[in-house]
Amino acid sequence: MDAWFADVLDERGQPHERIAVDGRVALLLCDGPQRWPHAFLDERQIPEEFAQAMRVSSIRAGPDLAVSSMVPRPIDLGPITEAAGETLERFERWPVLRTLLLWLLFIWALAAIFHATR
Amino acid sequence: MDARRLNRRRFLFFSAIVGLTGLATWFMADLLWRNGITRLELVILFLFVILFAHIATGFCSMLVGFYVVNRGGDSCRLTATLAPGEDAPLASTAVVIPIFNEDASRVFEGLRVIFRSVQAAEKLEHFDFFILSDSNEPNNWIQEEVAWTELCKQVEGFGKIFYRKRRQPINKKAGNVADFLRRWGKNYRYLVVLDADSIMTGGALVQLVRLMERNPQVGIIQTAPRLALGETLYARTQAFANRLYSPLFLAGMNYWQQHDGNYWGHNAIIRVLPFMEHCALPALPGSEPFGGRILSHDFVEAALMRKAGWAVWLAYDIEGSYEESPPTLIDSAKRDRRWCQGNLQHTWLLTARGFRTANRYHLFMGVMGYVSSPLWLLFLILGMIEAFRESAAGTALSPPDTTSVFGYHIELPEALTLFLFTMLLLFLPKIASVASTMGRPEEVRKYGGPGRLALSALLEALSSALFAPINMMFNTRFVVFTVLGQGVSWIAQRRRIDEDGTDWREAILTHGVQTVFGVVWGLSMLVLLPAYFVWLSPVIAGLVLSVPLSLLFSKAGVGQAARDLGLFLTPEETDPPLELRELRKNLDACYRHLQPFEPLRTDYGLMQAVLDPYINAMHVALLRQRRPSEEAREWFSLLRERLLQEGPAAFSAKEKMALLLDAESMIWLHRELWTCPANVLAEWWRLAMRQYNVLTATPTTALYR
Repeated sequence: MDAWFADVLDERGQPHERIAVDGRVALLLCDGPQRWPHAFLDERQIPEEFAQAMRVSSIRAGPDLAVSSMVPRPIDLGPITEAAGETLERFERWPVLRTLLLWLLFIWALAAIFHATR
Repeated sequence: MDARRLNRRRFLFFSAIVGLTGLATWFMADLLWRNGITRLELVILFLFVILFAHIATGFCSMLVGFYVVNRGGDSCRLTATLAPGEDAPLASTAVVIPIFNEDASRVFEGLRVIFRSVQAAEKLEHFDFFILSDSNEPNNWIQEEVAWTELCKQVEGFGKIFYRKRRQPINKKAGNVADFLRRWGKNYRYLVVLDADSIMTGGALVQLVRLMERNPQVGIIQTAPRLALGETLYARTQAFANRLYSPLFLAGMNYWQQHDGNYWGHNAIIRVLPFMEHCALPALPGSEPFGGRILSHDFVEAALMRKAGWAVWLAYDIEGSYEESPPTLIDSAKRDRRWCQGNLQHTWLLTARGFRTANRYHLFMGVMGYVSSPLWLLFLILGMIEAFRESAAGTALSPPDTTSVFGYHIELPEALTLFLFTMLLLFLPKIASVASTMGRPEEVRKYGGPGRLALSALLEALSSALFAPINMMFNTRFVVFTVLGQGVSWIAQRRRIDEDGTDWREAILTHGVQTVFGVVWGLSMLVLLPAYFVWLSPVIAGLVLSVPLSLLFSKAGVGQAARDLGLFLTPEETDPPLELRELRKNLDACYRHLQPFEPLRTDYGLMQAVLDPYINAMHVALLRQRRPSEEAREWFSLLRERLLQEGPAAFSAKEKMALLLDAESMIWLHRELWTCPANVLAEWWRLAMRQYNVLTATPTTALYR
């Protein structure tokens, strides 16, 4: 089958795995089995139209690349936000600071409720 | 528009908000001041000001929109720069659809409809279409590849419709689009971003490109997509509300924002070069969920575009732009979970240098869209505490029987005055929208006639009043969990194929806490503070009824029954454009196809990619050719032998994806499967090969016709 694909596609120099893949893709794209049901693996008489359709059929998932850069520029968050960001990052580096803050908030809430209910 | 006129518009708009909020605050302060104001009452007043300002903003937008629409439209809108029917030149445009594990049938049938629409407009030569996939589920990935191939065959789309699958989905959707721009961006002048559930007609796309060509200082034009194709009662009510109310609201927004508009991430056109130069997103301080990569990229990209001096417009009056609503309340909440996390991150950017004031406002309103929920809950709870405290202390005075405004007394209880004023701001915009629509008989007919329109509006208002406290509880949870750095896990929906709507177990598990909270809260109020219970009853009702409401509104059958009764009809349902009719017809054909055989369903994609000669070849042809190291080669060799011997159930998703990404392994697996003796294969593969001749090997989609 690989040799037959190589003949039809005129790709005799390719590794046989690639020919097998290219051949099946070409068959899929040109609807070969539906339109020329008797042509598959026929070594004696390959219809010219079929061979042409096989040769032009290939998958092109994307257009030619036009590579360019898209680089993030840092956003100046302003002094307050930058200070907050540094604080947050410090909390992430020192988890014990976050725990202490949560405890402080809890104690403050308890004190506020105590005061409000007296 | 000259700066002076724009400033005048903005002054009027925001002064109206301040005025209304000031008036309401007067009443509220007067209510709280009677016994001397406590610290708790000050906090309540402060929360009231924030929440009322939020309501007043929506009201003023609608009011201004009502004025604009009934005046015949805003002369200062972007679409006015093109004369009707003008055949302005076009330029190269890429239409991109980033997807992540979406329903392949929906994506590609949607693309077919858009492609055909542009083709019918005879402007296809200016457009290329890209599906940008980040799917990491093998079934989705293979379905996409096959659907793309078949669609291109059917519409002769090779060379026009492209498919790109990223190996590493870095930075989610924003990263997906950025990756596209880095590879192919320079080939195009404009970029139109669509979501997987978006539809844009050829006419709308062409109009957008023409507007960009006519207005070279514009960086982004955002359309106002209409909700369409909803089947469930929830989706239909959302679509109805969107169709009826959003034209006024958006006209009001455009009135004051003009070239300082916002970008919503889809159904919009972008000028490629300035976007690439200025709108690549940096990371924020800290890590997710509150820091790290920017999740809600759209607002920030609009702000960066404006910062660089390019205009961002809302073209609210362009027809032919559609999207779908989440089908159920729970699906909507899942989406809100992601958006909440993304919008809270914008807090970092409120004081960013160089941002325009309007963009800071957009970011702030995005944050408030979610933060207002816990503030509202806190307001209700503190109000309850205050009422209970006064009652317990015996210092509660009877409510004033008159309302005093600047020394004049009106014979109406003050609390009722404030309540009526608040209700006026909440519901008058809806009444104005209905009234505005009633003045256009042809349009009223498309809503089912005046009686049905009015009844539908009333029922929609009732349903939104009941959903409001449910969404309040959801959003409060999302905000709290995000601030605490926690994710929110969802109970996976075990939906049967033929099941209509939310599973009742999921509804109970999702809304259970809300229901219990509502019952306990309501009962305690009824016993301890019956007067306060009356004020709170709409909120309590929504919470207590959350499970049945969620279930009822999730049913497509109920949605259909409502349609049969002529309720919640929209012009997109009664007089749908050709594109939506075609899409619905095609999707009906898709979903009639048989599902894959049950034992093979979980790994159907992998099965086809290994077993089917065509799908295997196509999949390999689409893979990038790589030269793996010797170590990797050995690992793959062991992996693929195990796959044939043990079957895919023994593999993790990561291992399956790794094999699918390796061309050499896919070629080997296909050859071995068809040549090795059956006793070497796992039972799963033997079953797959037996079924291959019984069921069609192609994925179940109407693309295969």
